[in-house]
Amino acid sequence: MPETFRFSDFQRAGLAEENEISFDDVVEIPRRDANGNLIPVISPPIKLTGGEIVRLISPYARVRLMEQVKAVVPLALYLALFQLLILDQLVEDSWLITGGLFAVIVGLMFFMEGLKLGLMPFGEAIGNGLPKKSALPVVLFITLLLGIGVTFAEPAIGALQAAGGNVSVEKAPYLYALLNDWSGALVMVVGVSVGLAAVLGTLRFLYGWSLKPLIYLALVPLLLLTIYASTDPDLKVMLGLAWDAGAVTTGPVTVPLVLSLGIGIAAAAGKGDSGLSGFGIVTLASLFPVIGVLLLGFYVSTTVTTAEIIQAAQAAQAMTGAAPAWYETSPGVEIILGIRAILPLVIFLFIVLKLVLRESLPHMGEILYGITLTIIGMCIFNVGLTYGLSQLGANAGSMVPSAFMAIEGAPRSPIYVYAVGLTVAIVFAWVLGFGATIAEPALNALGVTAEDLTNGVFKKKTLIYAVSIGVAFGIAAGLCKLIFNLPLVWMIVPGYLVAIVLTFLSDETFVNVAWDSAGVTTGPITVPLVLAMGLGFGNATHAVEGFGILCMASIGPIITVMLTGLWSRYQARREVEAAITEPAISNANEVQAIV
Amino acid sequence: MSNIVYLTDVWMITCIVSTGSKQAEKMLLAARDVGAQGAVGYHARGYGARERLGALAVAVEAEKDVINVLVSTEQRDIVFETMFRAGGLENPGVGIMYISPIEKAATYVPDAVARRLKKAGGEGGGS
Repeated sequence: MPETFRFSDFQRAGLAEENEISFDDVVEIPRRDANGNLIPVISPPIKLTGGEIVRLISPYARVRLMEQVKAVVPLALYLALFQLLILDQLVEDSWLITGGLFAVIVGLMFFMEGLKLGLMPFGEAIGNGLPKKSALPVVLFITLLLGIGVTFAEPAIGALQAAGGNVSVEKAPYLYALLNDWSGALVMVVGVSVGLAAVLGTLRFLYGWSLKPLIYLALVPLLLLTIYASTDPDLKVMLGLAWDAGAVTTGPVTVPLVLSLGIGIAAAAGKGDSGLSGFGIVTLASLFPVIGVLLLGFYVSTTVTTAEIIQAAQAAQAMTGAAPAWYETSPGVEIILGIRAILPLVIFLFIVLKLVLRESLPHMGEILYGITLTIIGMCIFNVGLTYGLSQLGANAGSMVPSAFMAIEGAPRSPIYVYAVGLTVAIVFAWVLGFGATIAEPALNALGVTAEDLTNGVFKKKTLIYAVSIGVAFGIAAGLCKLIFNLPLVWMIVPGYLVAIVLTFLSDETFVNVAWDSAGVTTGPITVPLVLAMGLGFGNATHAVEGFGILCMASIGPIITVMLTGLWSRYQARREVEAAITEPAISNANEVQAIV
Repeated sequence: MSNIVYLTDVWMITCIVSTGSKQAEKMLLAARDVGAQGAVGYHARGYGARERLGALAVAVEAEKDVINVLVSTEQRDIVFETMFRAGGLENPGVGIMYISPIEKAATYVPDAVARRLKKAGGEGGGS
């Protein structure tokens, strides 16, 4: 017997149960007292049950966790699978590394969220308020100090210091000295350089200078110093570190904080509307530290001799018999480093806000929560850096050469014929560079900006591919440097000379985008991984030092992006010329050719 | 001068959700799959319950996406429920959505459509 339903009943049953509550029953209706005045309604704080709290917090935590998982897991899997499938080698200490990588993910999650809630409001308040209240010299001085502070707070800086332990003091005494005895001075010099870059970049916004002359002015002394250092066998080994330091500096703390101040200054002077403001600081902040580190190296080489450094290092090694204090052993040292990185910056920002601006921030509780998260995140990240990223990178780096040469600890090496193994190693580096870059969220943001600036001529996708391919070739070239033990000068100087020629030929827009893309690509995950990989690789192939891969990864995208820019301009011009010389066949064709 | 063709039986669904979790995008895609024609969205800042949550307030972003979708009477409940589910609004702290009546609307209605509908449903006939 056929049954009949009313359609609306069916709909109601199939979709959802509806309950209606009157809003009048939910909210409190204001009452009047005896005189007819309204009694103010005081809403009590909202109380949630345990289950509700879980449901409120879990999506919040999940989104932030997944962001970092997406950045870390594919890279780690790639390295592990490469070792397993191609090199037939199990990853050593795989549990420790997995734990370390988990710490990196959780640490970065806390750090980024804390940065957003705790440090960015400071940056915005100072960026908006300071230029209006203080004279330009004061503002620039604070910019300089801020540059130093953010460098210490940059998570990837820890990787440089961690790399110090892997350098052999006999082969490269000055490099060892810079990374160990002088590591504080090293970070300081990098910080001052970033500060100076921020000042110069801000002046550029303010007066609308072109970026091109600034690049020439920075590169000429830089290349001369590099060539000079390459003639001295003791100084030569520092070149890789100096150039890599430039790539390390521009990360998730420096870029937004320094930019917000710079743009604030330009906006206060009524010059904030140019689409290109905001560019250039990153470029200068990755060139200046190279000069700074080289000069520090020259200074060290004139004050101490190599023999003294080796002696001191050996004496220190002999001393290690005594049990180190808690703050010198592993978890303690990372926690101290984490607090020391963030706290000075916070105190500095707070002093500027209170004494110079005389302002207070709203939502103080939220900001304190953010700062606490930043510090906790930095500490967890540092632990993960030591056990996870650095270990994994060093592991992969020391195992990859087994593809083409005999390595201690890899029983069946060389696994492949020399030429095949070499190709495998270089392809490995290429894919690593490509994969690590293409997923970088900062690059996506730069792509959007570039598309806006060029009115859609330069597509977001084009930029992302151009940068990724540039980084891929850069990392592959850096690996070749280690394999064949090429002097870094041979790669840096021609590379930057090509970049200068391309800069001269390109439009201002492309110059800005291209040079900034180099700084954007090196985030807090790529830097430690690539640094450690280079050092492990260098140790395995008995190269003197394993630095230099990162700086090749910076020059690569500069060249590819400008080449892509020139190519798209050439194509556009050719189409216009074709349209002018040949009579247009139809209206549609003509319109296309001009567009 | 041509006459204005008015649309009646129009309702507006408004959704207010946090920006960061990309909820708005998910809800719009779901709405499109059940026949919603289009939407406008804008950024806003929320005030209210957040201030009374204490330490938990950090889990609720103050930055909001607001989306307006115009739907017909017969679409209304289906679109509303689909969007409610897609956004996960049954969870605490996610957002709010509501339906408001629209007196009438007007836009470009192709002549052919207007003529066909007039023939079928008479003066002012909907869908």
